[in-house]
Amino acid sequence: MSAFNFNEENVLLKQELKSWEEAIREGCRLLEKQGKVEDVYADNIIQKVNELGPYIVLCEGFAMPHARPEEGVKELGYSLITTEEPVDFLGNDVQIILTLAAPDNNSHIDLLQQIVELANSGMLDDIKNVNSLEELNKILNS
Amino acid sequence: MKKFAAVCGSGLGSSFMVEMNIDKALKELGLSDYSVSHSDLGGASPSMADYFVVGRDLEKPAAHLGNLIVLNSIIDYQELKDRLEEVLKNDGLI
Repeated sequence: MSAFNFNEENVLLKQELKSWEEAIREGCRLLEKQGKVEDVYADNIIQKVNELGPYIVLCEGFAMPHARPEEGVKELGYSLITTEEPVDFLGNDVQIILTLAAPDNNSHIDLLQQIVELANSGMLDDIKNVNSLEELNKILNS
Repeated sequence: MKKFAAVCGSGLGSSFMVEMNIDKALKELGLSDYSVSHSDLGGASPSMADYFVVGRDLEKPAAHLGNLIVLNSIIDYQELKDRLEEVLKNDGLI
């Protein structure tokens, strides 16, 4: 059973995005629409990346934009965006953007655990190529 | 006891994942007396741990912490385990 529940509200597949900033804003827009974050969340993540470098790029092709709970999170949430073409995240080619809103230090552990498993099993590559929500959920529940 | 800390930009995303992977790797490598924690860069201090694991993006900003293990891919378990094994062997811990 997947820790994630992906649906029309929190997933956009094969998007055309021009920059890492746009990718983060788009991911945060989905979260804001669901009431998970405040509008400052995207700015806070972008500012932090500009300060620290691309700490949100976790492995090749995969970024997990996120900031601290006090930087604009209302409740636990996530959104998934895949892109048609790789987006340049300060020197890293990224095609999967999983934006995370964590309201505290612990409630998102299950999600992180599953991301680690997906990365280590090579399934992130499959997610990059899915064309529908149905295909995505099939991979996550396999 | 040897202390390990995973450090990232926010202290709740990648460092958390790395902490889980460090724990798994150290068990597999046969080290028994250790502790693992995670932190954001701002909250990390040299006294927190003997070894600090960071992504290459934080190599420079985290340099003051001391003994750094720098990963190319922060959630690649195999890379982490290989680097830990190398460091632990060098230091005569396994």
